[in-house]
Parts: sequence; C-alpha cells; structure tokens
Amino acid sequence: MRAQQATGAARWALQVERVSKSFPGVRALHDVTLAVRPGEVHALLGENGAGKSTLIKIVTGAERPDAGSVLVGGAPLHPYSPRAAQRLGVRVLHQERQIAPDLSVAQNVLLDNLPRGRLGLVSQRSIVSRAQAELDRLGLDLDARAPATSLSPAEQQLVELARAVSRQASLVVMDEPTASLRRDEVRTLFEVIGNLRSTGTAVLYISHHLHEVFEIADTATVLRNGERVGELVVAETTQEEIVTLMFDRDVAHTRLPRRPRPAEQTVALSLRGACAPPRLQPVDLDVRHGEVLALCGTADSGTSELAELMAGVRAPAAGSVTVAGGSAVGRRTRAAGSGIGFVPADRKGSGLLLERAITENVVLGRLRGHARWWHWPAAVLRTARRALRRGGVRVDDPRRAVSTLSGGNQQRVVIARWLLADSGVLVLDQPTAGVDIAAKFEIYQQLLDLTAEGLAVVVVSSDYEEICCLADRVVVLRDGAVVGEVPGDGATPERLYQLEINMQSTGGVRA
Amino acid sequence: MNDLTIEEAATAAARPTDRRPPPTPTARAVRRQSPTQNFARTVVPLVAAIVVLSLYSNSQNPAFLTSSNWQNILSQVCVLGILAAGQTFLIIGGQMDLSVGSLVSFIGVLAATRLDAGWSTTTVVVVCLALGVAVGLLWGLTVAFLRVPPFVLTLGGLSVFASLALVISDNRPIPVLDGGLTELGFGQWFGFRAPAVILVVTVVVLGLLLHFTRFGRNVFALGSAPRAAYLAGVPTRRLTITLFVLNSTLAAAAGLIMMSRLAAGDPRSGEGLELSVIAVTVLGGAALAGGRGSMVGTFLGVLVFGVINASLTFLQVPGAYQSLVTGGILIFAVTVTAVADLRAGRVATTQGRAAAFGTAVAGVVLRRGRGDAGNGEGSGASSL
Repeated sequence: MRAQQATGAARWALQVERVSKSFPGVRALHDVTLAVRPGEVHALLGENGAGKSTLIKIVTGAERPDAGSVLVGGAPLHPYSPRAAQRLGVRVLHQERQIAPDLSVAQNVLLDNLPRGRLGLVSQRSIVSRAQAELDRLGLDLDARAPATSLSPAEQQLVELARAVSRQASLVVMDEPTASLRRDEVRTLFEVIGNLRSTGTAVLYISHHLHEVFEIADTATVLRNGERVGELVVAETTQEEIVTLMFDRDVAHTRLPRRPRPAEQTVALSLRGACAPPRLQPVDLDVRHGEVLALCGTADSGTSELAELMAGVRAPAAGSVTVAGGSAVGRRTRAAGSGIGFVPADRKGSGLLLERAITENVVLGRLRGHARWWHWPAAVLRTARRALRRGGVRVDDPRRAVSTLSGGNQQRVVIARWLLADSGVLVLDQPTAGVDIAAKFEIYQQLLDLTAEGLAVVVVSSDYEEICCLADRVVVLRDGAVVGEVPGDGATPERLYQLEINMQSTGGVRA
Repeated sequence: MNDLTIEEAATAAARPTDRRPPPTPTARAVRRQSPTQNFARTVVPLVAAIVVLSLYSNSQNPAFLTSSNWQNILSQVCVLGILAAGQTFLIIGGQMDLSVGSLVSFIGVLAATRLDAGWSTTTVVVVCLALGVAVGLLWGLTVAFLRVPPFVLTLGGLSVFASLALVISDNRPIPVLDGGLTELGFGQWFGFRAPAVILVVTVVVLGLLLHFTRFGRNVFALGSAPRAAYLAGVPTRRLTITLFVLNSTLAAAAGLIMMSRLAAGDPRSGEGLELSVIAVTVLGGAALAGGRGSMVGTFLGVLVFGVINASLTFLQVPGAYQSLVTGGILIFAVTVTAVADLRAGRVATTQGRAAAFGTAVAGVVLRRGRGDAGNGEGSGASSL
C-alpha cells in the first residue's frame, strides 16, 4: 500500500489540470495544464500579467481555482489553503525577505518547526545542531549560531530556502529568487537547487532572466494571456523560440495617439552623474517638457531608485539632479516646492491619507499658487473640486474619505494634487498597479493630455504594454545602469524584454 | 480620440493581468463615512455625559448650574485643559509627550524660587517660556532626527523634571507671596475668572490653528500617513519639531498658571497630570495611532473631567473615588468606540459582534484596528 503510494507519488510531484481562474473583469488563467516530475526544475515563463503569479497562488493554496484541480504528489490539494499545501509538501520561497533579524540563523531555519525536548522546552543546543545539519546537507557555508542580521541579503535568502526545505518538501516554488542576488550569490543558489534536485524535490522556478532558465531548468511552461502556449524541454529549445512564444507578434500592440508637440522641447529636469548606491550607477539623463519618458527594467534594475532621485525622495550620493530653473533637487520638500510631483508605487501607504477626506488629500503639502496659510473649509472645497475636475476624478462628495474611491480614482486624486500644485514634472512609479483596465486607459489619456500642455511625465513601469502604449521615449536599465534608449514608437514588448535581460537581438524584432 | 481609447480599453480588458490584485470590493462595501460623522460619534456621548451629570447634580444641589460654579469648574481644569490642547496636536500628529506633568511642577518651582530671589515678573515669565521652548526643541530634534520613540524619550523627561523640581525646591512647596502672576490665578477679566478666560481663549485659538490652517491640516497628514505626507512635500521633520515646541511652551505656561493658582511652587503639583491629559485627549476622540482627533472633542473631554470632579464634590463623594469614576468613563468610552468601529467596518453581521467585543479590548490598547486599510472605521453613530 505504502509502496504503491510511493510509486504513484514518484510519477509526478505536481499536476495542474485544466485550471481556470477569473477575477472581476479579468480572466487570469484559462485551462492551464502543467506537470512537474520529482527532481525536475520546471521554469514558468511569461511576461508580466501572463498569469504566473495567479498560478503560483493556486499551487500554494493562496487562491482557489474556478475550475480544474491541483495534485501534489498524486494527492489533490484540498481545501485550497496555504496550510493544506504545506501539509502536502509545497514550500514557497518568496520574493521578499521573511527573516527575523534579531534571531540566530539556526532559529530562523527552524522558525516554524522548533524541535522540542522533554517538558516541551526548546534546547538551544539541539536547535543549533539540527539547523547546522540542515545547512550542511544543502551545502551552504553558513554558521547556524550567527545572528541573522550579520547575513547578506543573499545569505538571508538561502536561510529562507533552508527553512523551506527543512521539512520534507515535495515541491519548492521559487518566485524570482535571484531578483536581489549578485552573480556569485546566484551561483550558490543554483548549487542548492542542484542538491534539491538530487534528493528528488521538484522546483517550480519563476524568473525574468532567460539565461538562468537555460542554466538550471529541465522543462519550461510558457504562459501568455493566461493560457499555456508552450511546454518545452529546455535542452531542445532556444531563447528565440521562448521569446516568440512569450510575445504574440500577431497582435499589434495599442499605442495611444498624441497631439503634435513643438519640435523644440525644453529640458525640465536633468541628471548629471547622479547615482544612488548600491542599486544605481551614475546616470546622465534629461527629461523634456511635453514628453512621456518611461523607465523600463526588472525589479532589481534601479528604475525605482532613479525615479526617487528625480523626485528628490533621496539625494544623489554623487552628481546632481537639477530642475529647469537650475536649482538642485535633493530633498522632497524642496522638490515638491519647485514643481516636481511624485506618485509613489505604494498608493495606499505612501500616496494617500487613506482615512482622510478627498479634499484634504488633494490640497495636501506645498501647493505653489495655493500656498495659503489659512484653510477656510468652503474655499478648500472649491479649490479641491476644481482640481478634481481637472484631474478627471468623478466624485459626488469630495468630503468623503478617500478610501471609498476605486483604485483608479484614488490614483487620480494623487495626480490631481500635483496638478493643483502646478507641477512641471510628474514622476509616477507603477502608476496603474491595482487599477482596472478601463481606468488604466483613462489615466494614460490624462497623462498624454497633460504632456500636450507642456508637462514632463516620467513613468516607471514593469508593464511592457503600458510603456509601448504611452511612452515617447523609453530608457532601459539593467543592473543599475542605463543600457539603452528606444523611441516610443519603436518599442515593442519583445524588444524591451530583450534589452532588459541582455539578449542579443536576432533581427526578428519589429521596429 | 476618446472612442479609440475606450475601444482599446475594451480589447485590452480581455487581457488577463495576474500582477494586479482584483479590484477591491471593500471600497464600495464600506458604509458611507465622513469626518462629520466621526466627529459626531465622539462629541455626542461627551455632551450627553456632561448634560446628564450636570442635571443630576443640579437636582441634588441647585448651586451646580450657576455661572460662578461653571467658572470654578473651568478654573480648576485650566491647567489640564491647556496641557490637553497641546497634547491634542501631538497625538494627532502621531507623537506623545509624557513629560508635561513634571514640567509643570518644575516650571512652577523654578518660577517661585526666581520670584523669591527678586527677579521681575516679566523676566521670570520670559525665562520660563524660553525654557519650555528649549525643552520642546530638545524633544523635537531628538524625535525628528534620531527617530527615538517619543514615548520612551519623554518618559525619561518625566523623571528628570520631577526630580529637578524636588531638588530645586528642597522637597517643599515654595510660597509665592505677591507679584504680577497672582493675577493669572485669581484675577477677574471681563467679569470672569482669569483661569476660565485663559482656558477658553487658548482652546479657541488652538482650535482655529488645528482645524483652519495649513499647519493644522499638515498635523493630521503627519499622523495619518507620515510617508505620504513627506512625499507630498510636507516638511515632516520641521513639523514634528514645531509640535513638540508648541506643546512644551504650553506646558511651561501651564506651569506658571499652576504656580499662581496655588500661590506656591509645589514640586508635586504636576504629579500624574500627564496621564489625565492623555486620558481626556483620548476621551475627546484622539487616536493614539495618530491622524484623528479634534479640539472640540478634547475640550469636551476636559469638561467631562471637570464636571465629574465638581459633581462628586457637590454630591459629597470622597475625593478618593474621583479617579475611579474618570478612569471608568475612559475605559467605557474607548471600548464603545472600538466596538462601533469594528461593527461598522469589519464585522457588520450579528455573528461577529461577540468577537468584536473581545477584540475591542485589544483595539483599545493599540488603537490600530481602526486605521487598518481605512475600512476599519465607518458610520457607527447608531451604536452610540
């Protein structure tokens, strides 16, 4: 009986059968099938929005599918809860660090599984010896007694990996595990993956970097628009073939029309050798009035840091960031005063006062031209209404809390704030994250209308379609350095992706 | 141009997006809420408490609802009220100052010894207020630049000033025989008792500052979401420093008033005052997590405190019961508010009510439940 189960389990570590999942207004996955053998590294590929994250969430029990089933080691995942998935041996290595910095390495490794001795007491010595055995088994050169704070980000990630597999794991899901690792650290990670493979643990590996896939993966599944468009044996394929599968060349990407701009565009903001170590190397860049400049790059490429330099959220460690008048941008207060609007990526935490009224969110901060010391409610309401109208926010009563608005309208409240402040430059970090598709295009249109009025718009985005649709000029970053500039009308998702991951263009790229 | 966008949007809508979380239904599910309703939710019960207590005391002793008794009540809570007004700014801005009570003692004692040493009244007032500014600067700079938690920092200050007051006075009240400052405690201004006038004027001026100026709105912004305020261009550090300076200066002024009302510099006069101050501020609807509160609420909280004390005196209840009653009211008020928040925001069904009551206790301690994702609050006026 037991042996039968074992052979049954040995056939497939993970089976995803005809899984579909929809969110309101969005079809995230459609009829996706996927199977991973024990000891196999299976890469999950696709551009942002292809359905990778949703699939991972279903496999790890964070979401339940609308249709289809998931089997781990032959046993159905039921109910769809992280707990059930854990019981079946599914472990997750998240993108973000989940380390308790004040505990030792050993305690972090055994965090959810502390060995208990007699009387239910925890013995430090047994923790350390067990954790050390675990680290050695994986071939990690780490001291279990060291405090977790002394570790580099990569080592912390390896500790998390050790935690993930400290109990028998049948499947480890790795979501962009190399996003914050240096090259030599990536090597260590790959060695650990090799060890896992030899012990029969399957790995579901998500990465943006194709060369990693070719180095470590046995098989790969390519998703596009929520559908499986290919299952490949990595040894028998090429990068070109994968990229072709990832991006559908037959669908012309949408590009919004723009009004003609004056030929001579003046510089609104210029960076000279501005850098923000360790993520961003010195950058020389000009942003001109009346253009949409897109910053494109993977999460670790330094695009957000560059946006923060431009907005004065951080001061450059060297070099300079200057606005049109010639004054330096170094502190956020001053930058806001000199007309640089900033729309942060974390809208709810950093963009808005969620509990406060919409009016207060609009008139917040230093408003050039509205720098009145006295805030008479009726006058504030009038000013806010005007700004909201200009910002295209449809709201019946602006005295409501801003949290009652939809994501798209919330984002436009932040934009309206900077319109009221008469900003000359608007820096937006992931402006349409969490915004539904119709509202997204309304925001694009609004930004284009604003550039027609002479505003300079900088957009950081990880959504290739967004960039192609919106940008006049795309600057691509890789490993903290600018590696290319593409005119907006020549940008395709495929080309941007190839630049991002440093893949040699093969002539198959359409201009 | 517009047609095209809509069309594109429609085609694009067919595209799945996995990176985006689904549109949150909570945004619409949450019941309509407005700052006005929140305000009413804290103010109505306080007014009710004051009215009921006053009417009851008056039925027992008709001298309660008289002008002179009310002036007396206001005079007695003058120091508390000034401190609470300053603390309201701090708490709304997400800060706190526990050192105010012992600063009151210290300033009182210091002023008494200086007057005793023959300094002119003006000099003493200027020196004391300057000292208040200096203390505020110290707290403000430390909190703003070193990011020391103000709770711990000012707890240290509490001990230091309490001890300094004892050292300077040699552990004895120092009588103030005469001088210009007597006017503050016992004068008659415009036909009213001076401390009552001072309290009302302070509250009105600070209320205007808090609710009708850019400075005041920035304080709310700082307390609700410091990061968002900073990114919007609010000078958050300068604002933090200003808040502490404002508060400590008010505490120094309160110390002078306390001294003149006692006609002595008593090293123990401010003992425990900081806790009463925070109690009435929270009673008045300020959230310790920051971002919520009002000057009217605080003033009503102070009044509740004053009316309870006066009522207990009128009803000849021993003074030892006073803290029991005020403490009980505080616990009741915050629990009821927390339950109302939970019910309005998260647990709208009957099955959740029992759980709501349990979690309310934790909510009282942390006051974070209400700020959570902005849907922890809502119209709960019906429940009060």
